[in-house]
Amino acid sequence: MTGEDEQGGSMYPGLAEFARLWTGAVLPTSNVPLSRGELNVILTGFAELLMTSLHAEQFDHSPALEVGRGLVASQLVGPKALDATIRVLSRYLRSEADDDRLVDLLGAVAGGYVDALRDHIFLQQETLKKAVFRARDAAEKALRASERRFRTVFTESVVGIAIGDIQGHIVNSNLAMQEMLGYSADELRQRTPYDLMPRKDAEEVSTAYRKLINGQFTSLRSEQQMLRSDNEPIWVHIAVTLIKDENGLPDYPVVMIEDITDLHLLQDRWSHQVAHDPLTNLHNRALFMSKVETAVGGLGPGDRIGLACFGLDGLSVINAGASDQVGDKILKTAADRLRAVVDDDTGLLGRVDGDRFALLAVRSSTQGMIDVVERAMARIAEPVLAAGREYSVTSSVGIVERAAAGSNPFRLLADAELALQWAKRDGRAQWQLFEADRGSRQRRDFELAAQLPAALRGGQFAVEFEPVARVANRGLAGFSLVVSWDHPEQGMLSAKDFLHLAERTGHMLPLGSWALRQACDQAREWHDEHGDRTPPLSVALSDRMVGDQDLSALLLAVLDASGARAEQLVLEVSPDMLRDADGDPAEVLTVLTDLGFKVLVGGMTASCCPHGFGGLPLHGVKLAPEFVATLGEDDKPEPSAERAIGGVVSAAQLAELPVHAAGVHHERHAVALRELGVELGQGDWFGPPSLPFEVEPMIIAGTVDPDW
Amino acid sequence: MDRPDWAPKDVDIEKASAARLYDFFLGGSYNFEVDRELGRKVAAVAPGVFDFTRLNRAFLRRAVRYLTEQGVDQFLDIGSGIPTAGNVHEIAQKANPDARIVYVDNEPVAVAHSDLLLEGNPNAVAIEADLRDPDSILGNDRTRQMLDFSRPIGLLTVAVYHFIPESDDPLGLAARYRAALPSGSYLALSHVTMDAMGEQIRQLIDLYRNSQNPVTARTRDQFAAMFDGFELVEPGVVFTPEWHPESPEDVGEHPEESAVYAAVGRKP
Ligand SMILES: C[S@@+](CC[C@H](N)C(=O)[O-])C[C@H]1O[C@@H](n2cnc3c(N)ncnc32)[C@H](O)[C@@H]1O
Repeated sequence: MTGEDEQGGSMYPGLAEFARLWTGAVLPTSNVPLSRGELNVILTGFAELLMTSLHAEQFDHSPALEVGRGLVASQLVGPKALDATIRVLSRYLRSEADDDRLVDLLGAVAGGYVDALRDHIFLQQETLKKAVFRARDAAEKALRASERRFRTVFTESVVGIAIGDIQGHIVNSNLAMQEMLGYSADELRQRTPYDLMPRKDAEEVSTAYRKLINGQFTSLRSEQQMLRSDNEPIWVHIAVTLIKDENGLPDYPVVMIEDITDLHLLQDRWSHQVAHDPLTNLHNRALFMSKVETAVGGLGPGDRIGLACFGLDGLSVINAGASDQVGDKILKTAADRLRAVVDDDTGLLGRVDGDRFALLAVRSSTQGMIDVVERAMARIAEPVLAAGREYSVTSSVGIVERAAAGSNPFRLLADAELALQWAKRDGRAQWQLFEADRGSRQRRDFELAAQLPAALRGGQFAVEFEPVARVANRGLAGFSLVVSWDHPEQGMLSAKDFLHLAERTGHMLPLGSWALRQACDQAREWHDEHGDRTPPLSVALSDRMVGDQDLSALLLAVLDASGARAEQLVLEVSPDMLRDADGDPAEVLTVLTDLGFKVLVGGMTASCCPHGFGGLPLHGVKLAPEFVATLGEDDKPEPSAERAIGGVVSAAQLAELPVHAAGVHHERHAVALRELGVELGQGDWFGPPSLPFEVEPMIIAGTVDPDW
Repeated sequence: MDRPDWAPKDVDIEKASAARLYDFFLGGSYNFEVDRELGRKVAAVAPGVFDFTRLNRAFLRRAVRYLTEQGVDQFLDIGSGIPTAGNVHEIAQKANPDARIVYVDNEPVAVAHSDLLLEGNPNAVAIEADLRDPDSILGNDRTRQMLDFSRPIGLLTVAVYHFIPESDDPLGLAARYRAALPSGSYLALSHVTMDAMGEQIRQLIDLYRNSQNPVTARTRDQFAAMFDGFELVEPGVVFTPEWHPESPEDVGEHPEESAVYAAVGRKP
């Protein structure tokens, strides 16, 4: 660049110093993308050019013009760059030439500089303009693209979109919106979204809308009902967003609605289905439990809570034989009847299992609970007409009633279900209060059940004979076989302590046939001894035995082995066994009577009304001892018990069946029963179960009060 | 209401922008009267501003040179501004013609300008994105096409973080970017401080309040924290003229009068 450099030196002494000072003077004036050294090299070249033209014979201003332009090219364009250059040049070149030449030179440098700077600035401004255009163009393209996108979304969307004015009136709406609401674009114009809502919602939404415009909300979202042009309601998700202008002032609202009517219906149905049992329309177990939890949580410290679990007796038997519709009808009817007894104030109902319903009562009392349960049991027990036939289905109920404080909802239901099991086991068609200590009783039961087979083999069982008397005159009318267990540790156990265990554990058949054999042997013995004076001997057959296919074979074999005759025996069956699953008279009754046995329905209580007994091959009904016990032990009359018993007796009389009563322990019982029309009785009042030799005098005397 | 994502940012030349003010202070003409008007006001109360910017720009140039000397051949320049004398790609590609550069700025005109300048340069792009949205930069297709994140990258964020207020969590952002870099990468930062030239900077901050880019000055410690986990290259955190000066005169007697801290760190 310098051309005449000689190894770092120059033909002009002081040139290097001159360039260094020049560099130092201009460097701080501009943004030069060069190091000090790099700029120094350039300026050294410029300095040399200027020196040369100063010293030339003939002054040529073009090198100086070039230097001026070169300064701009080197980015020495800061506001003070020219000023600094002129100062340095005039100071250092003053001694090199006369003033005129120096002025010419400086003028040329400045001229070239200004010329180039003007170009430089024009070019930059030109570029800046281009950049602005380009930026705007890009922005506009993006805007157009986004507008296009928005328009596409707007027109194609299945979401209804409307743009409104600041008053909320719809200005523009898309097709989806028009179709959803059944209005044309023109019809929608000048309406507000809340004009299209039911009046009660409209007010609320328009208030919210005002708040949106006032900036209290940024957007509004809710699920709303809207009314179509044909007044049909639809459910929508509605979202209103307020678009603001650059200054943050409300510009216009965008309303979006989505039709969720189907979803809503589905959800409704679904949540109802999930929570409700479709057959009975009662809460299902899960919902019932959650309601119980809520109820328990809402109760105060002194409050009590009651839960009753209803189980329909014998439903599985009915279900097994009859069509599903019959079972369903029975369940539905039971649910309806429960509902009729339990209104929303008294309790909450749920179907907690196939044939189980639960009733929750808050702020309950034990007696109140029992009252409701008994009313419900009575209603449920009324005959149900299904598939052209009447069915009587009783229910058993487990009741829990306790302080609400600290009650665990699941424990409540579990305890009620346990009590229900007890109720069923204790003979069905009754309720049982849950008792905490019965758990331990249950454990004892299991032990006994396990010992039963060995006890049978070991001869720990014995039979006794309980006299049956005419209530009117205490004349001997028969004997009842009573089985007892001489338990090595627990002493004498009576049938009610272990028979249900035998029945449940499958030991009933051996125990029952053993008892039958004892009965037949005794009957034959007495007949041998006393001939026709011998009254019939009754034996209870458990349900399991009655249901057993080999019953008649067993009976024949036992008769055969003993030599007794069928008519000397009375077989007692439970009311549950009288009809088969279809409600027809059980075949077993005919089989038994055909064999010559007399059949008695034992264990009658209030809930197994002998209404439908007419026409069955029966010889009588026997009231259960616990039913008789409701007459009370003291001398106070129990009108309600008398009424209940009276009802059963008159129903039996209508069916022309004589009525027996078991568990007659007091005179008053006997008097009351006789007045009610009960013919035969057994129990302590007529004589306790005794050994054969003890009762033989009764046979001879023909009365339960033999004169010795 | 916020502008929806899909709406483009307005090209606003009615309001002074940091990019154009910076150009004005550097003696450039890529600015409008609004920018110059504010620029003159700033210069009246903070006459040092011409030096602040010039010395900062010089630091950027030296830092890029230094990084190319360390073998760095890819650069991500966030807040790159308006192209002006001594652009990063010019310096880097002078040393290594294959060097690749991604310019990022959130000022649309600056980006359009860079675009114009980079026409025909296959190894450099400019994208419009915001420092505060790291994903839009680090995850940008063009960033990924240009830069290989498995090799060292020179991340330049020079004279930008003072436009990020505390409410936008500058430290968190810096950490995000540091984390995205592979080992061996470098980070070059500079930042306005009030540790020196306090009065001028205070006045400057006052005037910038109404521009598109208000300014937050930070202390030396706050600045150093942006390098957390990186090894600072000698001489550490200094005023711009003190960072790898090319000659003793460049440092001068009062380097603190540059009002801007500078440092370069390396990811171990
Ligand atoms: C002072 S200039 C620095 C330019 C260049 N880095 C330099 O040091 O020479 C600051 C630049 O950062 C840009 N900027 C400010 N805030 C930004 C942000 N949030 N995201 C991206 N760029 C930003 C401005 O538009 C401006 O161009």
